[in-house]
Amino acid sequence: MTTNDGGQAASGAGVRVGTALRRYLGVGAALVVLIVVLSLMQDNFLRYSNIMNILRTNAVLFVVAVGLTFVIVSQGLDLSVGSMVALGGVFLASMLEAGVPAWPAILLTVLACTFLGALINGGLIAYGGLNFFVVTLGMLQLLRGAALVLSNGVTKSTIAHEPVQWLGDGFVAGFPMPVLIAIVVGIVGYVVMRWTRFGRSVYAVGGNEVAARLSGVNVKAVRFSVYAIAAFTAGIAAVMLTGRLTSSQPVSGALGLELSAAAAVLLGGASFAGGSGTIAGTAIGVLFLGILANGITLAGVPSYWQGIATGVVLVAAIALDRFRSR
Amino acid sequence: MSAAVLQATGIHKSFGGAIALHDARLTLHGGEIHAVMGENGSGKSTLLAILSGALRPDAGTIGVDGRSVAALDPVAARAAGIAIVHQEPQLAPSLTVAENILMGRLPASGGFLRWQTVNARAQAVLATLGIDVDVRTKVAELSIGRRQMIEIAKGLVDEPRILLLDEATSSLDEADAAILFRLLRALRDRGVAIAFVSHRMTEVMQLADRATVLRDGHFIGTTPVAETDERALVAMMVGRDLKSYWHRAPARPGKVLLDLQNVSRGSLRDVTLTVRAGEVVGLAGLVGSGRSALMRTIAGVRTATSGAIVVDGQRVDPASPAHAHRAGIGYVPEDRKVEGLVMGWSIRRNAALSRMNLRGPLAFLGRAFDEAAFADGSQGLKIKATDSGQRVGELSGGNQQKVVIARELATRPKVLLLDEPTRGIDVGAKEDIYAQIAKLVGEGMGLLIASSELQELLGVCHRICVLYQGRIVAEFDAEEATEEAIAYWASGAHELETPSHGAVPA
Repeated sequence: MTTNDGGQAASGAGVRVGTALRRYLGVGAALVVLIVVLSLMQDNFLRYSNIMNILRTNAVLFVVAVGLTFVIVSQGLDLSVGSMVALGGVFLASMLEAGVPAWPAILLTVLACTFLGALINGGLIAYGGLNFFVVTLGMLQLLRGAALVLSNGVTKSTIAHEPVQWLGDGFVAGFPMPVLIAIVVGIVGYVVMRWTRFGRSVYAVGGNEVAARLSGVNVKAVRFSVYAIAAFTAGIAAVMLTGRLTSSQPVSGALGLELSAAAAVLLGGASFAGGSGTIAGTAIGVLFLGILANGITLAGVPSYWQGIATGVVLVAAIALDRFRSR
Repeated sequence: MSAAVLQATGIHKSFGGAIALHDARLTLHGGEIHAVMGENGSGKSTLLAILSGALRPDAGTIGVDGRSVAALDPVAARAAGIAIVHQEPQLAPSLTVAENILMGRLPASGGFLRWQTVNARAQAVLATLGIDVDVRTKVAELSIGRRQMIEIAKGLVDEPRILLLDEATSSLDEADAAILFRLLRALRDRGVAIAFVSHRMTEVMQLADRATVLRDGHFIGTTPVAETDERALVAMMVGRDLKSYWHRAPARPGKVLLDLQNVSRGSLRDVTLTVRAGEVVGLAGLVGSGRSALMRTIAGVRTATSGAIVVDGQRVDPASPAHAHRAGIGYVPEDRKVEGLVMGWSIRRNAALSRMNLRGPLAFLGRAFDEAAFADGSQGLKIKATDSGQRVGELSGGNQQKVVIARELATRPKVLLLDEPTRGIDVGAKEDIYAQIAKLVGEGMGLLIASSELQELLGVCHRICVLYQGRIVAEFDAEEATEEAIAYWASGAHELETPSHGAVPA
């Protein structure tokens, strides 16, 4: 535990939640400002097609970020989710190529990702007591390597497989399917975090692990579960991304996705100190990053600037928050 | 005996509103071993910290060799030949023994360390201590006892004339302690003045030439050890004026609710103990005697390696805190900030933290659940807060403690374990908690209270068990118990003479 040593830390923890809320509201307000500015400057911004485009291109990021929110709130981090998405795509494409019917292949992909993440990340961190940073950094390398080895680095088209395309790039009654999936994942994540005992336990472990353990929270099971959840959402994201790209992309697919997702979660009010953050905040964080990127594209600025803008926004948001709380 | 090398008089020190030292005194002569004694919280460690320059007194004078030292800071203390050895080794685990011993004074030439000199000097210091450790070993690889010896070696590098030891033996086993005692005697014979804080009466009687006793930050007296005995020292430590604001609930012991049969685990050895319905049982013992370890074992935080824990007729042997809760055991840990509360959470959320674990993982928890847990658990506790949605981090220590108690009561326990239930809280909150204890006992709950405040145990308990080195060495009926008798058994003084205090060894 890094907190709760003495009276100063005690009030500090109180302040932390307060500032998390303020940051959440702060980013929400910044999001509104960004939307207003873009809609004034760019005629195309508020068009239905552009809005749907923003939502569609960020659905994968959001699904991954939902799982990562559980991990970060529990005072952990999963750096392997991007590689997991890439490996999941390779699984899926390979199974389809081998003649496995689409729906079973999709289900198996999600299950395989969940199993891998739970077993290795969850097992080693929760039950082996290894440091989460080391384990998931290793898995970032390992899973990407596995994706390359299994595919020989070759992309495989999945365009012939209707269900995969439908999940990743299709429509239901004119509404984009990936956005629908993201909304469902978001709502389920929100309800679990906010209203269930398990969700409460995740906050308790992140807020004060010792107190959580002594009051009966099964801390190991909670830690195990959050990494399983992160891998589960990465598995869903793998199917969505494969469908959107119409192929598996072992080399470049989902590269750096874990860091974009972490940025969104932090922007949404979570803290690496654990115990704070919400799915609603994460949604705002993802929207902010997505709209920022969209605005840069609409303004005709080279997309290379996206990274710089994201970095500045992230550090500025957290720095502002830190200075205000002093 | 030579003249005084260190003289501290009229030392006052307070932290916030709490007075730690009030007119404390200590005089050290060259060539003596001087025990500084007192109960927990009597100000011993604070006094040593002041003499080592780590803390600055609010008032008082400190003289070294008859010259008054105006501002004693750690650097000035070192220059004056004062060294301190702490209770907890303050070492860098990833560095070698030699680097740790010579930290801050590593010999170098042209910016490069002279490793041979480093190792040779460290080896020389260890040789005087009679410790056989390769100085190139990393400290992380050493046992706690060995680390403590390294910490002591660190204190001896500068060949101090005044050596202060703050409970330096609490983590040493007997063999290491014997080495240390031999060394301390050798240093004394060379003319070094040694002051040491210890809770172990046997050590004091064997080692010390004189003893100074503090109580509640006041100087009580200094006496040559040869002219006193352990009973007289204990009497000086605990005082005789019993302030009484406790009302012990009338004893109406019913059926046995908690039954420990030969419970062992780590330092706990064959603990047998019962708590009946409508009864308050106290656990007395020094720091490290196994009080908290026993509480944690009953609460399922750690599991007993042998023996049985029976709750209300059912053998439970709690494997986890949740298991203990389901069996009807509530546990309020010692340190509410670190072990008890999620500081960023509201009062009602904290109050629901234990009860929620009695539900399934996907059970729905809304505000109503929290409110109900808080209402059930806080009945009679008089928690002062704006409302149950206030963050616990904003509450006073006493109210925070009440929230932890409310959290456990919300699980409707049959047996409640309280570890240091009133440490560091104000008198008003203490009275509320004592009143709550009396109320719970009246309702037929069984309570087990561990406390380092003997007066508290005497005031609220019906029976008191004394732990010493993981064993229950004595059991008293509260009516017959005295502070002297409890302190006598808790300090291990019984190992020096045949028992004569009326208590039957358990």
